[in-house]
Amino acid sequence: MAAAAPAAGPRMPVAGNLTVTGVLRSEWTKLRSVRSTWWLLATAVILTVGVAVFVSPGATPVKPAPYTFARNTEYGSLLSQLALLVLGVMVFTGEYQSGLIRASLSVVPRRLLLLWGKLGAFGAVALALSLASSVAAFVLGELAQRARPGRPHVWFGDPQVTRIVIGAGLVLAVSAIFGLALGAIIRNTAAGLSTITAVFFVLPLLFRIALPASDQGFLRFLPSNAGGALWDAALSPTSMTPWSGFALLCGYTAALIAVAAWRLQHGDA
Amino acid sequence: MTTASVTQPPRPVAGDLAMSGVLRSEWTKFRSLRSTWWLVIGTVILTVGVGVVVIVLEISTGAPKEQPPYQVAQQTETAAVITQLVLGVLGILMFTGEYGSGMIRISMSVVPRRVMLLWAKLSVLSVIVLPLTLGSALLAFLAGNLAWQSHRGLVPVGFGDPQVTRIVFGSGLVVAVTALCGFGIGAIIRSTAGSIGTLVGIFFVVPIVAQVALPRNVAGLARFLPSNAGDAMWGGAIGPRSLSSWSGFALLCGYAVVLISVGAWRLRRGDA
Repeated sequence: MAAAAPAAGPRMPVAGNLTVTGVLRSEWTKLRSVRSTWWLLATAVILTVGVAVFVSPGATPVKPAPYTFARNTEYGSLLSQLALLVLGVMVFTGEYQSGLIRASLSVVPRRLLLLWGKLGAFGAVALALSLASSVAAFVLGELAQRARPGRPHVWFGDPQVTRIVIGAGLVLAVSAIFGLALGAIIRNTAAGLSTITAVFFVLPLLFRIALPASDQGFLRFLPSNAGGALWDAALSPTSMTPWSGFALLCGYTAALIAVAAWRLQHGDA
Repeated sequence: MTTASVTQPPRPVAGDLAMSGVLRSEWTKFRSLRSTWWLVIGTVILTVGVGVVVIVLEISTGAPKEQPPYQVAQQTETAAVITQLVLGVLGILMFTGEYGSGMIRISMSVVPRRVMLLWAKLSVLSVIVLPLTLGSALLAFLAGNLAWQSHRGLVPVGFGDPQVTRIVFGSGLVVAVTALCGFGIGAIIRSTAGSIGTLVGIFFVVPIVAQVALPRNVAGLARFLPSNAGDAMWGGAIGPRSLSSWSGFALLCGYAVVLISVGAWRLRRGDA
């Protein structure tokens, strides 16, 4: 009798117990308990700051415009972009590879909630880390510059400096989320990483070599160069305006997230 | 009496291993993966497709420049930039694929002489990749050259023209050796994601950062990067100064040898 009682009533929908905070917390646990997360985050910070302190000062002219100086201190973020793209792609592909995704989707059957949870947890980490490292790169790069006599001081009030420093961090964070969305679509680590690195690093190079000079204007619409526009680092002959470039990068990312959500919701898991 | 067989020392397992057997098993593993064939077919399509598209774009701008033959040859081989990534990943997956799936435990139980496993994998990879890259580079040149000739007034380019032979086959060689570098990186790092990240960092991201961020007095160091050393063989090296063709290629081969040796050393000395 006692055993029959729970079976008699309609079962409570599992998803009813799910709260966004719970999913966020579980995603945060997954993220922080993998060693590679900390390796990649540490690598990202070290590369961004290291380039700013040790490499950029030598490459900067003696009396740079403030925005040139600021941009040069952020070049290391191109390297940390790779680390964060890898991390972003692996948020989903790591689970598909290990089979953990089955447990995740059993526990969080509302699949979109899982996607939002991952986006929230990873996005927050990526954004905080990117902004902190881009600000640290600029500040430490500036201090390294001050150590040399006769160099002008550059600080946040100077024209465009704030946009470049914060912008480099924003672009880094949005590209990491771009990687997460692509990983959710492709689901395989090797294929996802090859695709994302091709999009961000190989295609700009390939198009620059391959396209005739008259068609090179198209290069500014690539995700890497659109993002680069925000911090004056688009590696293309022409560049979009800073905020429209950033908006385009966000648009690409939003489109990928939409495709990922659709695939998660409607396809097999 | 029956205990006699027990006291007999067991025959060393490795005694049964023949290189031909290990090679055959590696070939079976290699060919039975779908990803292998995707990457192989992708390489051919990319190499030939990009080469032809670049030439067609050049012609379609209206007035194609009277380029020296070697530049036309370089344009037909443009895809080498991206097939380096494709086949580098193929090389990486030779080891990391097994570490990812756990297959490596079986492989090493069956072939306890670990370095032999490495040589067998390396042989299978080289035997496939080298003809593949050389063949597709040749195809890309022939197809691109056909497109070039189809435009009235443009002089066809042939292997007799200066540097053309070196550029066409050199681009194929560079892509093949990049795949071997990927193989070495995979044997050292053992994780797919870590290895791809490292390969991309070394071959694609560091050259970009070196180009924009290196102080002028040390900017020349960029030519010793593996990607720029390889590019010296067929053109398109980033940076102000580049090594001579064959010394660049030799340096790239040197990097591959070092990476594979470290991989072999780690396999032999370290935990598996």
